[in-house]
Amino acid sequence: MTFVDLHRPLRRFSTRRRREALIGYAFILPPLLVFSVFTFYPFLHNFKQALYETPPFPNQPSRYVGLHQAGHVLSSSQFLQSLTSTILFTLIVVPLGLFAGLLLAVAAHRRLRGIGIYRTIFSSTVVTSVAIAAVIFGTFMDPVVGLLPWLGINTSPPLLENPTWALLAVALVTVWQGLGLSFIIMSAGLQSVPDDVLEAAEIDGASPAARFWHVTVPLLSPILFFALVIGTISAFQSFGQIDLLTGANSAYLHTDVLTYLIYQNIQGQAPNPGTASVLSIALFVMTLMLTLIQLRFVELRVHYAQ
Amino acid sequence: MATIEFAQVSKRFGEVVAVDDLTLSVVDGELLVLLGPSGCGKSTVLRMVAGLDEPDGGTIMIGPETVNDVEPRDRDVAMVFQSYALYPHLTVARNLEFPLRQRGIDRPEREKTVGEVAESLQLTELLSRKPAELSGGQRQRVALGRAIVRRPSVFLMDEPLSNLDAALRVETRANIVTLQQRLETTTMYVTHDQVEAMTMGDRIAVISAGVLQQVATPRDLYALPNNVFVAAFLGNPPMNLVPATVATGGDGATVLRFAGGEIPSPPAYRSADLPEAVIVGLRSESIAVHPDGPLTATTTITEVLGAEVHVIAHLHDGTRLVVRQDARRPAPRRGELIRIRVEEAGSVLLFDPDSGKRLEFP
Repeated sequence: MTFVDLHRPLRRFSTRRRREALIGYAFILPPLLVFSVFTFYPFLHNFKQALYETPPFPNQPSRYVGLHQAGHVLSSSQFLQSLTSTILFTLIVVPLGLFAGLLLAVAAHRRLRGIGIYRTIFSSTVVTSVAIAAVIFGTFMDPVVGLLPWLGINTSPPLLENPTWALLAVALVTVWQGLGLSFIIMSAGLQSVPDDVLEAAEIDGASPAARFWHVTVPLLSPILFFALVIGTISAFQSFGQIDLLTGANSAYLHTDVLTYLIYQNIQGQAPNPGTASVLSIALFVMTLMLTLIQLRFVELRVHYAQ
Repeated sequence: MATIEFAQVSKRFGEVVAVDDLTLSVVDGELLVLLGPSGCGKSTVLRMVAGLDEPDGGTIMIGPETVNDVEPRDRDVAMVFQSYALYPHLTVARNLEFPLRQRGIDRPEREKTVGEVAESLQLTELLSRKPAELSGGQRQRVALGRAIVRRPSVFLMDEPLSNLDAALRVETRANIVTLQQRLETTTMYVTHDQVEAMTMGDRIAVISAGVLQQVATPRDLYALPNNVFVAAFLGNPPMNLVPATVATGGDGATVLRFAGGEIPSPPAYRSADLPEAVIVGLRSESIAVHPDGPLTATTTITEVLGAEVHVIAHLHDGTRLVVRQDARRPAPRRGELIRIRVEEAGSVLLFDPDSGKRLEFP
């Protein structure tokens, strides 16, 4: 605008725009407040808290130690073990969860009488609480009253007290927990795979397996990618079932994933919020990096329909 | 190369009978068009040949083999879908190659065959593109190429031209016929467009409400429709169907009496024992506006189509009549009272008003 026109139409236009902007801000204000208090502030506060150390004696003030604490925490054997546990846990949970969800979705993606019952069952874990799932599976694996020992699967020490098997057991419970969401996402994706393309493949000589791998999976790739990204993030954040099933023995059982370590540094015997902050930031950076890597490399193989 | 035989084939979806007791033979190497309005079951017939739908009764044979229990991939048929159903994630080359790859044909031969097919359909320049980057006509050619690439014994085409614009449709129509004649592959072609059916088919099978009405060459179908459905479905404009009563005229000869006059009974039916009432089938080109015509009608509208004009008129009981005439002749104005006469008495057909069937010549 090179000159200001003082005629009425422009002025009316500008007050209308201002009014619309005000209404817009009014709409985002409530969520903005909530996010500020519960997400943005704690997130930013983490970066400050990471620079302070709390002495292991009660009622002592924190003191500023700068990056010294971060270096110390990130090179500790406790952190490295936790990192290994987290990566192993994610490597089991994510691919297994995707594959199992896809398998169920393909199985339920047909017009059969009563298929709705199966769809309801398959998606039901979405509405099951972590605590209840953990209690049920804990009972399943209980060496005395459990189902697994009754079936003859009886490791010594018992599964959830066994450093070799505990991580796998906890991961499988997590897969089960995530199955409902995975199934729903995959089912929605399958709806978008056109029937006639699959029929064309059938006539063109593709076996059921070839149709699955060469047609269904590529056409589903945007959904698979989406499920991979959110599945990875959610695996990184798993906590409830780990805490409930292995609790205080996590370090010994190698189920001490980062979230659990963070929790221990806040609620444990010797709380150190500074350490917890360093670990939180580490988890954040890991999640961010991994998501960026997925966006950069895995997405190249995704086919988006136009 | 194969024949296709349907014997008493039926298919229902729930309460709906899609195909009812179909018996039909497709001759080796011919292009048979399945023609009918939407929802008449013609696509279901095609899908049953492909094996995508299973018949509830009857048998389908491709060549010497009954295929009812044969998987689609073992039937040696290829299909072109209305939507083309290309693999959207694969390039044109990969799309064309897909059927060969699934049959475990080795790479050098695959590349050679794909190259030839691409060449013949002018797809060579497009081999590295994905379907989303192609125009409608190009996609259609890829779909066609994917069907011919492995030289199947039967082609099935389900309205392959209906997503193209009018000009391209005419061009592609001719290309498909040329291709089919060159390959001499038995082809079943589904369409609801009677012009497509007339121009492409060696023979046409007309289907209505799941029931086969008539199978004949386009010429025979046009000249001698079996019933009023076929008569009204084929031709543009379709055959005029005019109710009439059979009476004896002044000179003792049998006449057909309409709301707007009477005409002598057509010569072919002269010795026939006619019912009291009939439906008279008059092709619009075998009647003409003429001052001495025996039928009186009121002109409703005249449609100029370029070389010809359709004069649409109504008898005074409301029956509609279309007269096709040369555009150079003067056309009647709207509302003008005209007289119409039969030019070719030999082409007049009579139908039974109850069954709709054409009355046999004696």
